[in-house]
Amino acid sequence: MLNPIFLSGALLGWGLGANDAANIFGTAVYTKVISYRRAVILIALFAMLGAWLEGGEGLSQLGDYAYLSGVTSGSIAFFVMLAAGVTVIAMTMLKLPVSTSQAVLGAILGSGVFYGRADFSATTKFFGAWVLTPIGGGVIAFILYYLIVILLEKKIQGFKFFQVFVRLGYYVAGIFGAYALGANNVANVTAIYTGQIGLMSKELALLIGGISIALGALTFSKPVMSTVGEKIVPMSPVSGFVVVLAAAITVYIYARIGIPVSTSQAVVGAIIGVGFHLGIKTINLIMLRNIMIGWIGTPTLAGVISFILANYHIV
Amino acid sequence: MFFSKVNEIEKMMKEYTVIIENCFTNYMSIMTEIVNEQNQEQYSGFMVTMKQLESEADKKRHALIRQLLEGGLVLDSRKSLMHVIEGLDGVADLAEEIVREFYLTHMPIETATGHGVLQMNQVIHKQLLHLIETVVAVVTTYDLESLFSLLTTIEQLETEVDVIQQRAIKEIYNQELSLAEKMQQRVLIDKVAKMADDIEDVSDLIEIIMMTRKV
Repeated sequence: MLNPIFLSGALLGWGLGANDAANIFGTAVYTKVISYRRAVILIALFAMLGAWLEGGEGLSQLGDYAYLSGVTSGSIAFFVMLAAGVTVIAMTMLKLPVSTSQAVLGAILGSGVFYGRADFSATTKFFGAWVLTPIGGGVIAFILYYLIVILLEKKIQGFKFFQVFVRLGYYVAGIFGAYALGANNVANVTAIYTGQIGLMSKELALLIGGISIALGALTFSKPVMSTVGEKIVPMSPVSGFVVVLAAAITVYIYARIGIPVSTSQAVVGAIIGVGFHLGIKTINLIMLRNIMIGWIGTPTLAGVISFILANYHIV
Repeated sequence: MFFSKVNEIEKMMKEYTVIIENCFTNYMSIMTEIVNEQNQEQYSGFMVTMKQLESEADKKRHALIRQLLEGGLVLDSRKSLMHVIEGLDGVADLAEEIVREFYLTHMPIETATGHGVLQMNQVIHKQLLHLIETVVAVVTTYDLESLFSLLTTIEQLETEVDVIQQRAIKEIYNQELSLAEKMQQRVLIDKVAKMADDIEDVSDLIEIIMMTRKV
């Protein structure tokens, strides 16, 4: 039987799946390229696959970091994940963009401060990854869009082929996006229970993490998918899937490195990258301001909540 | 599997353009009869024929719209095709409206009006054929640059219709008719000329589609 302390992580994973599904297939569903049902099934399948096959690196890095920061028992782990989950819910209710990765890290740090084991120097690599995520998304989107335009102009002459090409593009981008989501974000969900703390084996962590993300996408992604899909209306037929693909590549790179990052922020960067090509002003200062608030605000809030909760849990 | 929805839309668009052309050629024949014979007993039969053709066009249009809603095309293509379909429908509606006017009012046609209407119809028919060619290309070809000369021709034909329209109106106003009679004739001429304007509007839409496809 599973230990109930894993519930807080599973809940976080469920929320992550419900929210991030929109980044992956929101535009495709909104523009009726893919049906909602098919989209969530693909997300669930490939997120689980990504988590299982390539979530290990993130699990090790974040798991070790958590242990060294003072997450040395099940109850501490439970409250840290609870703090991260509450932060995500609070920011969502305040309609502020929130990154689960940033919330988890902030919660770990908050608990670490309480136990006098917070390692701020190690956070620089995580913080650096957060900053580079939208930049990476933008650069990759810029290059990808250029390459696809050349391919389209030279090879695709028929109306039918263009339609199929774009639809296939959405499928490929979405599937890879789901895979990268699982591979990168499973660490957020269950890393804290693995490694030296020894509460959960690596295999079980990957399985539970992947399943909770999948369940979130399957059961509660529709409202967010409609809202996000409407907001990220593609600037051109091709830009829709290029944005998702570029974000997926960025997130996947960080999955290989072992640092959980935000898919939403990668998408924002990718939109800016494509916007440069189209001469459209996609740099929205309010959006950028919100992202920066997220970089500082989310981990800070999660840290504060984690610190407060640390007063109440039994070691 | 991948092409089935797009193939269906292509097929339906082609069928729709055939129906629209059929509607217009019937309208042309009816107008020739009306101008030459002015046999008011025939008007109800003409109206029934036009009504049937216009309903057929409407049915096909609705079926096309339902098919577009099934997906299969990307959002931009769906939007632009919708506008083209609505534009073509306008031509069929106007043709039916003109014939219905004769049935309802039994208005006489002056010689100048009759000549003008028949001349305009000839030019508008050419315009429509060119337009149908471009519409079919929209659903079969991606790069539409080769249509540019056709689109220019459609514009030129519209200008020709304008010239005929103005000449016909001038002739009407030079005749010994009451103001009300002159206005009645003018309304008919203007309605026919409007078909040319509507066709040109659709060709403008296709120009925009051509531009947006320039990736």
